[in-house]
Amino acid sequence: MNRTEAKSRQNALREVQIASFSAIETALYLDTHPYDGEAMAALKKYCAAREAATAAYESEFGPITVCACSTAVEEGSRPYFKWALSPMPWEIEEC
Amino acid sequence: MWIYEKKLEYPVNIKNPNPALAKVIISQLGGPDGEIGASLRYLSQRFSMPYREIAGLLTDVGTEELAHVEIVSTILYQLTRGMCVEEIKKSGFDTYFVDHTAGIYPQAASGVPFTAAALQSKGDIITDLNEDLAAEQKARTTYDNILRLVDDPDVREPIKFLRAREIVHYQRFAEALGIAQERSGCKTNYYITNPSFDTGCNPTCPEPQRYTDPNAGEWCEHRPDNNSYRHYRHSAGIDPKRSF
Repeated sequence: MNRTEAKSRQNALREVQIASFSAIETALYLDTHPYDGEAMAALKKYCAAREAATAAYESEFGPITVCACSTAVEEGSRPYFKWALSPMPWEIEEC
Repeated sequence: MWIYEKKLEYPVNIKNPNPALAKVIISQLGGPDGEIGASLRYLSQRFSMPYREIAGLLTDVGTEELAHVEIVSTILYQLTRGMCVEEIKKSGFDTYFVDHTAGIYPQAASGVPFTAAALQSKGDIITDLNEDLAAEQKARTTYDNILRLVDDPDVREPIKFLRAREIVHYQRFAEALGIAQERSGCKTNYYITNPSFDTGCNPTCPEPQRYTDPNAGEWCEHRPDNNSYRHYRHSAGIDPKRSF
C-alpha cells in the first residue's frame, strides 16, 4: 500500500470510527433516558452514517465484520478470505 | 453474543516506541482499576440487575470496556515494538521481558497478574452501582497519573480519550443509581432494600405506601412500576421504617 492509499484508508476508517463512536455514546445516554425523542433521532442519524461509512470502507479496503467478506474477490486474482488477511487494528497506519 | 469489529474505538499510532511508558500504562490493562476488571465487573453484575435499562447500560458499558482493553493493549504493543536488548535493560522493561518477551500480558504496573479480587459482583443493586461509580473514578485517577508521567502526544491522545470515557460512564452510572433508587421505592433515603433479592410482598397494593421519618419528614414512597406498586420486604429481617 503506497502513502496515498494508506492516507485514504485512514480517512475512510476515521469516518467509520467517528460515526460508530457517536452511536455508542448516544446509545449509552439512551440507556438511562429511554424516552428522549431527540436522542433517539440522533441515534438513528448516527447509525445511518455508520452504516454508510462502513460500506464505503469495506468496498475499498476490506471487511470490518466477517459478514463483509463478500468483497474478498478481487478482479484478476484468486479469490481469498480477506477477513483473514487484512490488517489488524493494532498495526500502525503508515502514512 | 458479540461480533468483532476489525477496528479500534479510537485510533492509536505511536511513532516512537518507549518501553518505560509501557511499564506504567500496563496497569490499565490488568491492574486493580484496569479495563479487563471493568469489563468483567459490568458484564457479571448485569445478571442480577432487575431493571432492564440498567442491565442494558451494564451490557453496553461492559462491551465498550472490551474495546478499551484493545486500545490499551495496542498502546502497549506499539510502545514495545522493535526493542533492542540495550533499550530493554535501560528502560527497566527487563523485569517484564524475562517473563513475557514483548507479549501482552494482563498485569498491574507492580507486576501483580490480573486478579478478579479487584472487582465485585455483589448481587445487590445499590452495592453494585456504588462499586461501579467508584471504579470509574479510580480508573480516571489512574489515567490522570499516567498523563502526569507521559509527554508523547501520540500516547497522550488515546489516554485522554479513555479518561474522558470514565467520566461519561460515571455520569451514566450515577443516573442508573437514581433510577434504581426510584424504582426500588425510595428517592430520598439512599438504601431501603435489595430488589434483586428481596421479593415483592404486596404487588397489588393500590396506594403508594409512605414511610415517615419524624425528623426529616417523608422519606420514602413506593412508586408505580409497570402499572402496579412494588413493595419490598427486607428479607434480612430489617424493618425499612426503622432502618436508620
